[in-house]
Amino acid sequence: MSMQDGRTILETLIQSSTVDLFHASGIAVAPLPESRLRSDQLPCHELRAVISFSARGFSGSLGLLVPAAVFALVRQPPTRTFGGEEWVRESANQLLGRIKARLLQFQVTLQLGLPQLLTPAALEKLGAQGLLGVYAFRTLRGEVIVTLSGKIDYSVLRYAGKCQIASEGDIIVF
Amino acid sequence: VKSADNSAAVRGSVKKILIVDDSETIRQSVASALEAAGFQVMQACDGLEGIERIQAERPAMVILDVNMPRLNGLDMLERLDVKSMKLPVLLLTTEVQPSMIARAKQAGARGWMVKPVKLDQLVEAIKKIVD
Repeated sequence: MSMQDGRTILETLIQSSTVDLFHASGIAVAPLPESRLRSDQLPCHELRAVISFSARGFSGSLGLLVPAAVFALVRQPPTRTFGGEEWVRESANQLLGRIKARLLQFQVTLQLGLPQLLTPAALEKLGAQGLLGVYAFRTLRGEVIVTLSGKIDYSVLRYAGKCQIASEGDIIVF
Repeated sequence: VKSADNSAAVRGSVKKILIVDDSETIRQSVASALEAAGFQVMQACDGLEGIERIQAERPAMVILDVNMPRLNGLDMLERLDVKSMKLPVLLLTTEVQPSMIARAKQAGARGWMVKPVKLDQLVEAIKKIVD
């Protein structure tokens, strides 16, 4: 697979996974053109998390930056609550989990790290190092940003057809 | 992580469910749904704490994440002999890798759920297993 094709596939997976992730939380998001944002112009939204990944040909991290006003739209459980920082960490985890599931059909099995909060200094450093991709999504309360950094060999992506794997929301009883 | 006792559970017949997940978001969401369904809920934030709580509290069932610090869910499952303990364990995770699902089944798990799940469906699945 050419680098351009592989890059396009990965971008599509990231964008569709992000839309699905926020939809599951009851928040509508719409992808914006990738070229709008530069690596060194990342907005310092209040909620920031990053999660690392690795696989043959893949090594890097995925960042998720969310304005606090967007988190205010998230449905909370009726008798308990959770904070924005915990939520953005789990959201980064679920976002990369979705991307991992979709990459399985391209014969890439990501190993996921544990999600961590991203300090403003770490965010600045990440932007200064240069990112592989910056993906912006419009919501009613501001823009959600997803960043991709690291090294990716797009030639390892080989479509193997639709895999028989579990999907989001599935409950498999043994 | 402190357990959240509800008054019905303290009286006796209510079943205890242990949620082992490093995400407070998941623990709180699942706990809220289970408590509304009448279960008593305990929480642990990694596999080591999960083992301690199982040994100390003898829950009726465990909801278990996979990717966690210190001890992940699959390693925790393999350290416990859940078949002989007759302890039902359901994995709740973003992972869909077939080899991981097979490993959980081999270690005696009763099921695998892919995040995000609808909480009402999760509660129904738990009721079927523990009742």
